[in-house]
Order: sequence, then structure tokens, then C-alpha cells
Amino acid sequence: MSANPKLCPSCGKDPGTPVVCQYCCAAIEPHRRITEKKLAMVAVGVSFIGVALLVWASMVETPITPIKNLASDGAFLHYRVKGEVIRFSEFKTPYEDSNIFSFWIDDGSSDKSDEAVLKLKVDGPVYADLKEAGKVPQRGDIVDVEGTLYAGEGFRLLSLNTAAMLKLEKKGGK
Amino acid sequence: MESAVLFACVGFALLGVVVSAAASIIPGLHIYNVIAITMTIVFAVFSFFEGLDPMYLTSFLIGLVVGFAMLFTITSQFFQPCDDESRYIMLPHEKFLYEGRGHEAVILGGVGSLVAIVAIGIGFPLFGSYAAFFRDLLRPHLYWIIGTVIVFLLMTEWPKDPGTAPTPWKRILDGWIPIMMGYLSFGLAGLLGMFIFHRTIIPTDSTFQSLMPVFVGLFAIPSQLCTLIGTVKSPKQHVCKSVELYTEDVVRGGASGLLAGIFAGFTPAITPGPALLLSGHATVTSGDRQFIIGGGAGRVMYYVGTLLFFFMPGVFLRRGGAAINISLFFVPETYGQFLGITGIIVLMGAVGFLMIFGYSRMAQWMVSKVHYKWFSLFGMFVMVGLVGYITGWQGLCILTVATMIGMIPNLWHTRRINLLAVLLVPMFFNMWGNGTDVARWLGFL
Repeated sequence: MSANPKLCPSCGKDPGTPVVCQYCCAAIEPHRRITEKKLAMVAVGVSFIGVALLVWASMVETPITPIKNLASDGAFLHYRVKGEVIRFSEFKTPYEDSNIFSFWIDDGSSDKSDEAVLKLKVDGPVYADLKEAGKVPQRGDIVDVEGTLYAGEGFRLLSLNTAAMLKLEKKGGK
Repeated sequence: MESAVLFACVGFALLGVVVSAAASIIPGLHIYNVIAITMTIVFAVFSFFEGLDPMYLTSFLIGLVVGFAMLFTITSQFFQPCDDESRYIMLPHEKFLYEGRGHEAVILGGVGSLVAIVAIGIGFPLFGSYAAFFRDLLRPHLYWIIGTVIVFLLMTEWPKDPGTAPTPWKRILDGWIPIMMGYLSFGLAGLLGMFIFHRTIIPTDSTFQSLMPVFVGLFAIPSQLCTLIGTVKSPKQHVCKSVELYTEDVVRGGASGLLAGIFAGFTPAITPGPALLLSGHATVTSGDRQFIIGGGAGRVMYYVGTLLFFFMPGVFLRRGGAAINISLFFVPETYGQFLGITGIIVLMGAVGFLMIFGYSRMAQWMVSKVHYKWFSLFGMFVMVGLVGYITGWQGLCILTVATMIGMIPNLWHTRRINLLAVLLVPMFFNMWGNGTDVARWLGFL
């Protein structure tokens, strides 16, 4: 409310009437107005929604998807898979001074071996981070890995975007 | 996401809000221009940012956008009063300014912004997955939706002269000239848009800001020029401690704004202005308060909500300059990242709303100490300097042409909304599949 109760709380002029200001037509009665303090309290309440979302974000995990379910309709989406490393390869990229590391995992989600096996690709910088962290997967390791799915007719692979998205669950590597 | 990363992200976002608050003091400066400066700095010292988690820079840009969406209209409200020499329509927030209620208009706009922040915080995590469905549903129809918006804009142009000229012939002319000048500004802006989209002269290393000189020229500089040549006196403002507000205003104004923001977010080339015009008709909003609240809600939903679509797993809708710039260095993936960004947006939205009270008082204090024309003059120098720095002399050429087109609505009392043809026309033809043919026919290819 305005400091002087006789003045219009909206425009600060003499309202003339006790209900509506004759200058700006604003309602003067307190029950038809909301104070800045109350609005600020609403904003503080809204900030709790933000905090709740941040807590949720810190707890949420990507669910593990069986490899047999990964198909082209999920291309470019983020997936998490878990399985045993069955083979790997490494080659030097032709245009950059870095290597690309690939490995294949089997999660046993299907009797058909090609359905349960997925190729995972690790590009140069991420591969360097994996080496630095001593997390390069070897044959026989159980890995829990997240990445972007690239899939089309006859191919599907998961691309690892950061080293943190690979967890070595069981070191059984040879 | 790790808690430590989230904490750091909140810190970077707060920094973004502070920078956007400082940038919002300059009337006409758009947040995408600030992002352009940020990206130029990032590219210059890329080796420093390369080692950082990309979520930090993303959070900073998110803070910039949220802070800007909440605050940038406040200084425009006080620093650019409308003058009937150059403006025919007085919008509700301008009416409030002339009644000494500028602060109340700012708070009402803030209430609308807060409505959008709540809608984003609750609606997007719970119902966001439907966005992919609507995106796929709308995709094949976007060209005719844009075409319909064009028809609506052209059809709703009306004679603004009161018809008091002494002869019938003069009255006909007075009625038709503003309409025809509206169509002319639409046509010229459309031509400029076709040129920019198909044969821009902006240097290739600045093409991430190829629309900057166009928008500065069409909208920012003419507003500043009109403020400079205007003679109107801004009345003394009353800082109210309470505002007249009803639940109906919040619901109807908020719904209108949210609808406008979502529509603008899903439809390329549609900005909050025309979207609000459409949603205002669709939801039959009434009264000044609902208009102002709708404006606040639509602005935040468009700038912030649309940006959040980019982080939504399975949607990845890249709309607006902020999303385009973030996509240069960061590809969002996980649901955790999406929730983290949503949380940061809501938190920064609440902070931005709390800042509104003080920011409005500061703007009023500034305008009481320094004549408002100085702010526009300073803003104009900053904008022209930025365009020259980022896009070179080629950008300045485009800026000059765009400014001349942008002055038409002010000089002939027609609507500035017609200038959005700069996006609507090329997007309509491109999405229809005829953009290249039309550009070739115009001699641009």
C-alpha cells in the first residue's frame, strides 16, 4: 500500500473515490491488490521447485536397455547398456593425430548372437581420457556404458561421448 | 548428474543472470547479441574452455537467457517512452507509464514471467515427452501454418487515420497510405529476408550471427532513433508497494502467453509478438493487465521454454539463437542433464523475479538522473559497434538497409509486426520447397 492511505496505491495521486482511482482506474481496496512482499514469497516458493528438480537430476539414472531392443527408431537417443566385452579394435584416424577405439559387448539379451552384441565407438579425446583413467576395457570385462545410439539398416553402434560414461563393473579382462 | 557439477552449474547460471542484468540496461541490446560476444570470446580462448565441462558454459548461457527474458523489457519500459509523432498505438505498458504506473506494469509482466517459469518447471519434466509427438505432427504442415500467419498479419492491417481530412479524396488517401505502407514494409522486409537467407554477404566466419544486423536494423535502431527524435516527456513514476491483480488475470493472461510462447517455439519464424497477437484473439484476453501478463509469460516461454526443448531427450528441437550457439559446443543427451537444466532455469527464474523489484527502481532512478535519450544514444552506438565488430562492413551495409526499412512503420504509422516478413517470407517459401526457385527468380542465386 502507498505510504499515504489517501493516495492511490498505483499512481500515487488523490483517487477521489474510495474504490477506484479517478486518474488511473486502479482498484484501491487492499483485498483487490497483492503486495510485493507476497509476490516475493511466491517466487521463493517457486525456487523450491527448482531445487527439487536439481535434487532429482542428481539422483536420476539412465535405465539399462537390453541390446536386442536397440533399433533405428531410437537413433540419436541416449542409451545405457551393460554387458561383457567380447572383442576390441584400435586404429589411427587418417586426418587427426588420435586413435579410435571400438569394442563389442554382449549382454545375452537374445539367443541370436548378432542381436545381443553391440559395437561401441570411442573417439580420440575420449579414448585418451579413458587411457589416462586406466579404464580402457579389455576382453572379458563387464562394462556399464552410456552413449548416443547411431542405428540404421544393418548397423547400430553406441558412441561414448565422455570417459565418465563408462564404468568397469568387473575386471575380467585378458 | 554429479552434485558438484550441478552446484557449479548454478554458480555459472547466476553469473549469467548478473551479466544479462547489466546488458539489459542498454535498450535495444538483444541477449543473442550478448551470446554472440560470449561465443566470440569462447572461440578466441577455446583452449581454456576445452578443459571445462560443457555444462558450465551452457549454464552460463542459460542464465543469460533467463535473466534477459525476465529483465530486458524493464529498461525499455522506462527508457523508450512512446511518442505519438512516431507511434500510433499505445500499448498497455506504455499507458501505465504515462499514468505514472510503470513500476506496476513491470511487476505485472514479472508475474507473467513467473507463470511461465512454473509452467516450465512442472509441465516440461512431466509432459515434455509429448513435445516430440507435436513436433512430428506439425512438421509437414509448418509451411501453410506460416502462410496462414502471413495472411492474418496482412488482413488485420487497418486504416489508422481518424478520417478528418477536408475532402473525400484526401480521406481515402489518409486511410489507405498507412495500409499500403504496411504492405510495402512487409514486402521490402520479405525481400531482404530472401536475400539474407539465400545470398548473404556476411563473412563466413560470422555467419553464426548472420541475422544480427537485420534484426538490429529493423527493430533496435529505429526504436532508438525514434526515442532520439521524440519530444515526449516521461512523467514522474510512482513506486507502488502493491498491484491490482486478480486470479482471472493471472490465469487468462498466463494461458494466452503460454500458448503464444509454445506456438512460437514450435513454429519457425514466428516470434512472441505475432504469436501473442494470435493467441490473444484465440483466448479472447481482455484488459491491460491480462495483456501485460500474457506478454511476460509469452516472452519467457518463447526464449526459455523453447530453449529447453533442445535439452529434452527425444525432442532436441533447436530453435532460437541460444540453442544454435549452445549446439556449437554441446550436445545434450541424458535425462539428468535435462532435469538439471530445468532446475537451473526455475531457480534463475525465481532469482530474476526477485531482482525485478530492485531493477525497476534502479531503472527509474537512472532515468530521473540521466535523460532517457542518452540511453538510446549509447545503446545505438553499442549496437552499431557490435554489428561492425562481429559482421564487418558487410553487416553494416545490411544494417543500413534494414534500418531504412525499419523506419517505415514509424514514419507512416503502421505496425512494426509487418517487418517480421524478414523471417516469415523466406521460411514460408523454404518450408514449402520453393525457396530456391523464388530466390533464383529474384536474381539472388
